[in-house]
Amino acid sequence: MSVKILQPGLATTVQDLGRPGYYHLGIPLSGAMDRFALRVANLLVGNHETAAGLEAVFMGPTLEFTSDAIVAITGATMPAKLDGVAKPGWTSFAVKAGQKLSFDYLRAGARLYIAVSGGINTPLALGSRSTYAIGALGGFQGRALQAGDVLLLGQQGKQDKQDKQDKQDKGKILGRSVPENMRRIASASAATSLRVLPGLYWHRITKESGEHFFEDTWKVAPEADRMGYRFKGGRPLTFVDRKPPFGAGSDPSNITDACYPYGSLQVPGGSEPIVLHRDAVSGGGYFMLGTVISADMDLIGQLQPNVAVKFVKVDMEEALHARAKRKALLEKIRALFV
Amino acid sequence: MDKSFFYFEVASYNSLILYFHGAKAASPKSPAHYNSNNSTAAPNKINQQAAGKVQLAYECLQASKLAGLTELVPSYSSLWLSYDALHFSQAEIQKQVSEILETSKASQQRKATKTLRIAVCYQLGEDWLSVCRQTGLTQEAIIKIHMQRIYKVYAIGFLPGFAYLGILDPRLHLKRLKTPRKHVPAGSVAIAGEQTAVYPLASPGGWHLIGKTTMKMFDPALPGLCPLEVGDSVQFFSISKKAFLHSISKKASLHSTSKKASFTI
Repeated sequence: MSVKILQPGLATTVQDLGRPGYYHLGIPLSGAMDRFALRVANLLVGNHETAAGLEAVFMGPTLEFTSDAIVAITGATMPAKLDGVAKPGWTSFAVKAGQKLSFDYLRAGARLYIAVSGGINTPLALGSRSTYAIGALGGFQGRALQAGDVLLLGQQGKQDKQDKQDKQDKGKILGRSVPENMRRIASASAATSLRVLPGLYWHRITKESGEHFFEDTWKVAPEADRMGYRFKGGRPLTFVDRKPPFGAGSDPSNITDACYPYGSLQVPGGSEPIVLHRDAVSGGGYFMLGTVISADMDLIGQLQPNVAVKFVKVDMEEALHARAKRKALLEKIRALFV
Repeated sequence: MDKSFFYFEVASYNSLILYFHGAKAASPKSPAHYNSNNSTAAPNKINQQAAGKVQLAYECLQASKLAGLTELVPSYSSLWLSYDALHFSQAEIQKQVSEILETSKASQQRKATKTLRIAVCYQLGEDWLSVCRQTGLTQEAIIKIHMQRIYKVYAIGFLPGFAYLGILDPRLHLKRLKTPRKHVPAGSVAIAGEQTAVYPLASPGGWHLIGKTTMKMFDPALPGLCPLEVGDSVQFFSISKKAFLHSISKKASLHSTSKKASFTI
């Protein structure tokens, strides 16, 4: 019961929903950048939503299966081929022992999720299988996958403990598909809106500058990874005068070192905003303009460098509404596959 | 703790940052607090009163075992807390946390802290030329000054196990590097501003490197994962390059821990 990595892609890692509870030691949540996509991929193959799958960025891996399995691909659009035969995304399909799964080039989005029935069974590290490569923690030996790695499959399926049931259910699971209107795929044409809850150190910038921030169109910079996404192209921020606090001198974007919340938007030097993502550094000395709302964090994980982004100001009520809406969508998908 | 000592800022749908004043603020909502520093203290210094309040709040909230409070991350003058948004509304969590803090007393039983003695091979520091030039001191004098003080862990963060240690002797205060290094080796002992630290992992970094240690600041095999907690103390001592290499080849630790609390807040 295993999967062999023939070609790893650019940076393919084992991810589940992350490792909460260790941020005070500087260990970030980690886990899938697009949590919705991983949850749905797991649902499609009959796994618990918390099961570990593979996250591949910009380029898919080539995998060889040593046993029969059910597989589903979600997230970025990167057409899958099983022994050269096209397989649809957001739909579960059967894989026979010895078959090879590969991917065509990236058409839309950035990160692909591959769920395999039973889940990827790397050892739990602090309660999670998510790879945190910077800390060499979790996943397969704490790192991105390499050619020749063999990943064991586990028992993270919902019915894995009941063999008979399993066989009956297999038929129900195969061919599960998420209707197109329920899939979430980044658009390649229009600017992506990222909703921001202003706060924390918003008062550090001038009123005018705050307006520019939301008016300008930004572009994803090449420095965009699991730690954070950098954006460029908007007007630099102007700051309100102050005496510098303890910490790092006269740069107006510096603060007394503090914890960085997930999704927080820092602007070093006032020029290029960075949104901290799943592998966030837990703290530091840059001021934060606010926080990208949780409902839009998945979306960031699907942004390619150079795509256009607009930051949109929302209040807490709108942020919670967006979260509830996303939850409702997931609930609908769950209901399809009971 | 009087409620004029702290205030909340919304950080996200399920988290808040609590900021602390060193002294009572004239008006709790006055914009002066935005420097996250006591306005009466010199703004460019670690505010020890505020840091003490962070520590007290951190311990009280940990001890409260408040259901639905999920994470606490203390720093110099602020404490990030996250909560289960299905359990609390933002107003409720603020109310509950305020109540806990307002009834907290500085005299309550302090958590036992420890002092970690870290062996450093100062000879392996990469930045001696520039550090000597900028401080106007000899390498020998700087090492002596760096070893003299017992440092307190004010915060852990940035990277797993990165402990922010203060307060560095004023003679060693240097601005961070203009351009951060792309690669600082794990175990580098560094200084910047009023702080000193050990890099737990190889990472980018903007501090000045004055030595190397074998001390593991983050180890998934350790029960606590990191040898230090906020509130603990650190003292550095010097070892030769020979002793340093010997301890690596023999896998013998030269570091030691004492349980005695060396100071109270």
